This record gives sequence, C-alpha cells and structure tokens, in this order.
Amino acid sequence: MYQSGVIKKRRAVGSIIAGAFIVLIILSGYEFYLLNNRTQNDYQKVLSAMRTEDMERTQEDIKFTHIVAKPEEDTFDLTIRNDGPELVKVEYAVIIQEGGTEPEYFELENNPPEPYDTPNIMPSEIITILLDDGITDITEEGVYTIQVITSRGNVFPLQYPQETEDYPYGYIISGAISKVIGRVVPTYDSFQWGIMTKNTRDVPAMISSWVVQSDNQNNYVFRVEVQHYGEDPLTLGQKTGLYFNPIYGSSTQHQCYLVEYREATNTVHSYENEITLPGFNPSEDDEIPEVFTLYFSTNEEGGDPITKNFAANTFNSKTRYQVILGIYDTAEIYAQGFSLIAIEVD
Amino acid sequence: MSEKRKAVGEIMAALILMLIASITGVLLFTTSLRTSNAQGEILRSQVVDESESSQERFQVINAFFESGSVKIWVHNYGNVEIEIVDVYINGVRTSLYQNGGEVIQTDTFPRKITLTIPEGATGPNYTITVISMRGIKNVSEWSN
Repeated sequence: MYQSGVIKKRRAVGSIIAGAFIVLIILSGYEFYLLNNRTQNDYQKVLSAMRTEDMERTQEDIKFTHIVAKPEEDTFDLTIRNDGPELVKVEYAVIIQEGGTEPEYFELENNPPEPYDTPNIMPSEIITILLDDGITDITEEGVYTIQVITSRGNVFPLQYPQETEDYPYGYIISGAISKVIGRVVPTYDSFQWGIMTKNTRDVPAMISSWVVQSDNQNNYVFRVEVQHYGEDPLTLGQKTGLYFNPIYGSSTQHQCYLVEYREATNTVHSYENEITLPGFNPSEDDEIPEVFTLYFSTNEEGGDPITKNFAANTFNSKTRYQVILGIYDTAEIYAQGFSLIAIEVD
Repeated sequence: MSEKRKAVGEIMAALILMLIASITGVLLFTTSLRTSNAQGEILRSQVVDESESSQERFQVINAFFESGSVKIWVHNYGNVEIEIVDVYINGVRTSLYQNGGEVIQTDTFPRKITLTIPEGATGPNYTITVISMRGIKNVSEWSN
C-alpha cells in the first residue's frame, strides 16, 4: 500500500511538470507566431503603402501651359497645370542651359511661388512660378531645358524654346509661336449643357455632366470656358463650334456652332457681334489669361438658335460621341481643335 | 527497518529522477527557446531590411559632364534614408566610395556627387549605375 502511494504521488508530480512544460512550449510557440505575424503584417502594410505611392507617382501629370524667358531680367516665368488626379507637390525646378554651366536648382518647398503658401498644386489648378534667383545668364539664343521635380520623384522636362510648332497639347512655347497660331485652351471641367425650351432664347440652368439627356423636341445649348494664350487678340469666326463625332454605331455627326450670349437677359442670339478673345501678355499683371465662356446652340454658322436651332439634328441616338472644340478665326482658317472628353447620350 | 530504508531509498531515487528530468527539461526548453528567439530575431531583422529596401526610391536626375569628370544629382524621394556605396560608369567602378558610403536623407535637396570618369569608361554615351547599401540600384543613361 505504501509503495503504490509513492508511485501515485510521483506520477502526479511528473504529470504537473510535464503539463507545465507543455503549457510553456505552447505559450512560447504562440508568442513566436504572434511576433512573426505582426512583423509580416507590418511588412505587408509597408509594401501596400509603397504600391499606393508608386501608383500615385504614375498618375502624376504636370503640363507646362506657358513659359516666358526674360533675358533682360534673367528670369523665367513658368506656368504649369496639374492635369492628374492627385495633389502634386513641386519640390524643385531646374534650369539647364545647353552647352552652359551646371544645372541650376530652385528649391520651391521652402520658397513657394507667391502668392502660394505651399508648392502644392491641386488637380486642374494652375500656378505660375517665377524663377529669378541665381540664374546666371539667359540669352535670346540660348537653349534651355526646364525641369519640374515633384516630391514623388517625377521629373517633367520641357525644352525652351520649342524647335517645332508640332508640340503636344497644352504647351505654349515662346511668344513667337503663340503669336502665329493664337492659342486657345479649353477648361475641360467647364463643359456644361442644357435643354432650351423650343422657340425661346432663355438659357436654362446648365448641367455639368458628360452624360447628356436625349431630346429631339427642344434645343440644346452647350457652354465651354476657354483661355487664350496668344499675344494678339483673336476674333472667333462663325465656324467656331463643337463637333460631335459618334464613336460607334450609325449615328450621324452633329455640329453646334457659336452663338452670342447676352448676360443681361440670359439669352442666346445669332452670332453677329464678333467675339474677340483679348491677347495675353504675361509681362503685365495678369498671370494667367482671362477665362471666357463660349455658348454653342445652332446648327448653322452664325445662325439663330431659334430659326436654325439644334433640334433638327438632335441627339436622337443613345450613344457616345467624341466632342471636338474647333476654333476658327474670321478668315475661316482652321486654327486648332481640341478633343474634349466623350459624352454619353442617355 | 529494512523496508523503511527501502522506501526512503525509492523516494530519494524518485526525487533525483524528477530533478534530472526537470533540469534536462528546463535546459532543453531554454535552449530551444533561445534558438527560436534567435531565429525569430534573424527573420524579423530580414523582414525589416526588406521593408526598408522596399521603401527606397532614388534616381539620378541630372548629369553634367566636364573634362574627365561628371557631376550627378541623386534625388532620394523614398521614405527612408539611403547610403550610396558604389557608382559604376559604363560598368567600371568608380573609386569614390572605397572608404565608405554617402548617406542621403529623404526629402532633402538632390545630392550633387562629383565622379572622376574611370579609364576605359569614356565615351559619348554613359550608363551610370548607383548602388545603395541595401542593394537597390538605379541605372540611367546619359550622353555627353
């Protein structure tokens, strides 16, 4: 009896020790698992954040809208627009003179261009940067590369002056070229449309949307804001209009020409009084050109919106159209065209 | 009397056995715990290294060539500081960082680095390869 009691006690103590070890082993393993899991999670978070940053980097899009060199002052006026969907922080601007000295860097983060507090550019925002500090020498004949460097590491370069007139959209390079072609730039997010009651001139409440309601009984009116970067005033010809090209299907092409808008009565009329966009001279106080609003609501050049209305060629097909803004001068020389965004007729 | 002695002897033996088992168990446990902790530490440090590597972003944004030398501007736009440890021009290693690298903090002005173009690397076209301590490299093409 005594012996079996000792054996039982021994077994009990042995089981407690073994149990304690098992608990310790399980706890240690769990701690090991938790730590590694946390480390892996942190790593995945970092990877995910960097992937997001890389994606935002690829979405950055800065366009040079105007650049003017002033040799007499050794300065550059640089106007840029954020065409991307993300806020862009412009950290540096660089001027590189071909065959000259080493690149000159301008830090914008701590010296943001006036009147801005930061060098951040919101989507669609335009800012003008004056590069005037420490530029050694700017000459009429000099060839320069201007770089804009963002906080996400993108480098947007532009050569000044441009050697060709066949430059990409949005580039307004040197007074000479803009004088030749007269440069009109639409503000893409300004596109609006409305449906006018037939046989009236009253402009209805306008809708900001690229989806247009189908209506074959009444008249359409469209509104687009533009800015003119040319140095000389530009009088718009009667051919100036919006051209709607069906992207697919058998729908016909539509034209909608410029009409005269009278603010006092909020009405549209045939285009008789010329619409002139004044010249833009950045050496004066205006940093960006004045914004002009153009109205389109007739299917005949210079036509009256009532007698030559747009209803005859209305959007009776629910399809998608490419919208082109065609700018003509009074001599009816085709000046330029812009493909706006496609509209969906619903 | 003899039975009593026998019983004490068995108790002693049992105690000694338990002691041996406990000490062996503790030793095994602490050794395995230390080993797994060390392994875990190595793994975590590797993950941290990988994490920092994945946050490195830098590039050469400009190169300016002079006779026999080139100045490059390295922009660190990542989330961690970088240490440039090697620069190759047309595949030939420059001697600049043989005695240690150069740290560039993030969000700082692009660092200007002046390099002597090594023999055998001259040419109108240059491939400049910048390598960081974490093994990230940036390759850029330039022409003189």
